[in-house]
Amino acid sequence: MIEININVVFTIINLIVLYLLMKKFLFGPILNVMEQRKNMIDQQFASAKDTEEQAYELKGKYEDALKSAKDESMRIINAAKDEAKVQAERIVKDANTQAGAMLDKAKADIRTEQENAMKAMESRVAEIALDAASKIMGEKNSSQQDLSLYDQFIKEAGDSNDGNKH
Amino acid sequence: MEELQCKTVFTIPVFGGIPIAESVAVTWIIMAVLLILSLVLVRNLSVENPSKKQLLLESGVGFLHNFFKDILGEEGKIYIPYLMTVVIYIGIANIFGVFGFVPPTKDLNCTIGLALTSIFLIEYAGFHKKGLKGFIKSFAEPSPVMLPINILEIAIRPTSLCMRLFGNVLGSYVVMKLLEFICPAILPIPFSLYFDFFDGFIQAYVFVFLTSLFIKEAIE
Repeated sequence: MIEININVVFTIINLIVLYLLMKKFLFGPILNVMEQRKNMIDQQFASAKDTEEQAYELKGKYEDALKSAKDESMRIINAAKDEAKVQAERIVKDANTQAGAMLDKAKADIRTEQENAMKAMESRVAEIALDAASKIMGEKNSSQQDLSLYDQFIKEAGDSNDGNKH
Repeated sequence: MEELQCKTVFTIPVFGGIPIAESVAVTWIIMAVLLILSLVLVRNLSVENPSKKQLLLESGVGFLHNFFKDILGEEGKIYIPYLMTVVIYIGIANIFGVFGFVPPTKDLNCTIGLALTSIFLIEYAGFHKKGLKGFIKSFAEPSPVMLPINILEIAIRPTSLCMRLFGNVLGSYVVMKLLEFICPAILPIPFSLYFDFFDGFIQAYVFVFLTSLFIKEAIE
């Protein structure tokens, strides 16, 4: 029932052959595919990580750029505000000066006008007085002399009246 | 009693006739089946979109691979394909009785062959890892008192491996034959589930588990 013979050797040979066959046709390809898939997944994970890192980097860069742009725009606005203030002040000052000058000029004009009017009126009054006097007197002699005489009179009277008025 | 006999299927008429035992012939059939299955199943493997068949195959092979890798670690990686081959072979051989064949592991010659390859692999692993000097020195560890026991282990380990497998399969084979003799219908089904499938796979598992443990011990 129990006998040990040459079949032990056959069994060993069979085993070795089976091992080689299985390794070549079953385990080899399957383990290879599994290994490849593992590598592929690892690679994908690595590349995903890389991409993520790059994205974060870019995000940081953009945020910086955005911040500096904000700062820049703030600065520009402030500068413009300052300039506008200065300009406005200058314009107001100019306007004030100009207005003052115009006012002065207007005052001077008014005074000159007044003086002119006064002068004209004085001469008219002298004429009228002369006319009235000549009409009263009826004759006209040594008119030039009289005229100067009246002039003097009117002037004195006017001056005294002016003095009373003021 | 005739059933216990290991029949010689045929004799090769050279060197005064080489007898080919039934176990060897059945092993050839198992090898052919495994080869054909491999060739059929391992086709159109795809890395990116595996088919359901491929996933099933991968999970099976991956399970065995992880099982041995957990025991052997990274260093014993090269022994994994052999252990996977053996577990598949013994598993199929043990349940081959269901298909009407005589399980090859019922023949002591077959289990001796298996055990011899196992012990060779175990010692080779130790030799490969430690070199000649370390290998010889490892027999005197942990203390020189252990020397005879360590040397005896070379003989004891394969003997225990082959006898355990042989005894279990022969026993279950005999029980199954007796049951079939008493009542050929229905009754053998639950017993067959236990003796052929459960015990068969347990023995395959035990055989490769012990072999891998010994290898691990040798390469530590």
